[in-house]
Amino acid sequence: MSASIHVPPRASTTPLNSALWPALGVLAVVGSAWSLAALLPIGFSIATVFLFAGPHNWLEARYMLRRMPARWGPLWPYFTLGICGTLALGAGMGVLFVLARSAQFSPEVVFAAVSVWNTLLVAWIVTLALLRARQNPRREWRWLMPLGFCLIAAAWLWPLLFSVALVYVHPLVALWFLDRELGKSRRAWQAAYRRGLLLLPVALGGLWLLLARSPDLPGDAALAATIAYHAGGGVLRGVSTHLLVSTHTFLEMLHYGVWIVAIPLLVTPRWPWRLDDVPLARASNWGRRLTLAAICLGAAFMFVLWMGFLANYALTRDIYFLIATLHVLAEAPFLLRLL
Amino acid sequence: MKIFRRGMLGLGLGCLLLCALAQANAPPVPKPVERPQAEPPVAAPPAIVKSLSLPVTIQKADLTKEGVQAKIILSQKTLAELSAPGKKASPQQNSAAPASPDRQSSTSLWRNVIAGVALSLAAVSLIFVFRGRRSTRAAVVALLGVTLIAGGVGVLSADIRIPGEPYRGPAKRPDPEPRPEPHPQVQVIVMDDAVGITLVLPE
Repeated sequence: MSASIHVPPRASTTPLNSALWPALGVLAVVGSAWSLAALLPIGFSIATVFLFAGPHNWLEARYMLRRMPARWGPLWPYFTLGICGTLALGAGMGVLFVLARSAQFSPEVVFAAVSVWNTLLVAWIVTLALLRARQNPRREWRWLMPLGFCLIAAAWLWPLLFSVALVYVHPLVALWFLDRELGKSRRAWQAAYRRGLLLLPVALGGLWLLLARSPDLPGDAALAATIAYHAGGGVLRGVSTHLLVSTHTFLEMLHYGVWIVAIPLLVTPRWPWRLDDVPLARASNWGRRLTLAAICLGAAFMFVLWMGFLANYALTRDIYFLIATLHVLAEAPFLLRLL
Repeated sequence: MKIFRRGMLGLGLGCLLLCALAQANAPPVPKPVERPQAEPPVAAPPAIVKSLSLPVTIQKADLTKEGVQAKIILSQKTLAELSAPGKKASPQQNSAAPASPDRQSSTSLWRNVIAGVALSLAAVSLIFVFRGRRSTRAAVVALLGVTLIAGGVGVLSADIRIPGEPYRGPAKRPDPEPRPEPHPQVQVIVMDDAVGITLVLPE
């Protein structure tokens, strides 16, 4: 009489266990980022921007090269509008930067200019989305029209609050990118990732409970004042700048983690200079040279940024946040292509 | 279902318009906070255009009828010395000066008008969203949610009184305007035959 023995499947083959170590790593990084953002907001902000701002832009540009088709075909209106809109709105942000610092323009003019920029941004994104909805597979995104008009109204009623909201929404867009990429390449991890995302409101709620009544960060140092300004200090009156800087730094750290670690390692595990997954590089020799030049230029920009931070951190940070608008804008067409 | 859908659409449009009207009635947004400078901020000394040290004669008098706290009597010549052309105001000083209330309110009016037009367009564009479609439960719930939020914002914003701002609501006033506190005032009198400067204080 023989007894049948049931052999359970190897633990490593189950999706949950294969995701266990990455999940623990993510938890450790998120926990550390949360603690450092809460306890040392200014120092942590300075360190994260210094270390990760350049590399994350470089790797994000590399990701976009991978997602850009070599021949646009019927998608040419979409990509033309995407690239032109990115460049035009980026230039517009430069104009706003000058306007806000010029003594020749009254605050009302600056407010109106900010509202116009925000209106153009909303109109650009909604137009891109409607163009995307007409591509295969077709999507029913007409509801974006009323939503877009409501957002334009908000941009005129509360121009500065609208801009601050964009600052806080941008890091969350990276989490959306990761979700879509996991859905394409590691579907088994997507459900666990989405469950993990539920921890984000808990972490933010804990941060706000902890710091809601904390005093403002000392505003005597220009750098601390600039960092608080980037996080919305002065616009969100009555809210502790400690809370704002901690929240912004925590979210930025998650954003950097997604672009520097999660997407390169989990989704596209190859060195940035390996061009076999870039459609433009595979299409022709010229495309290959162009892609390689873009990657080298990005690497050079990263080193220049580091040198700038070492020479004059506050000024370089100011300039960086202006230039970084380009990458924020460029995310919109690529995210819409993933949806 | 069709009647319900049309009713919901009408209710949504009405609430959005109510929200737009109420927002148009809201006070202007506060002025932007000055951008921190790259250099450490240094407490700027008050700009002294001209400084004169002149002998002052102090007198006591009954000022209750005149409604002032003090009077300064000086001659035309002394006034001319004080108001001699000093430094011309720089463009920076001009732009730093707050905009006149009329200009500020007209700017905020334009902002509110544009926002109202955008909200109206949002309401109109809802027609394109629902045209030729059967309403799903999610769409109805979304519309109901937006309607409730828009209506709530409209109700809360309507006739609201902001502390420190003049009331801009309709005829009905929620509470009487507080009577302004009397501010201490100094009367400056320029006389041709005055000698030096005389400071008159209450007895």
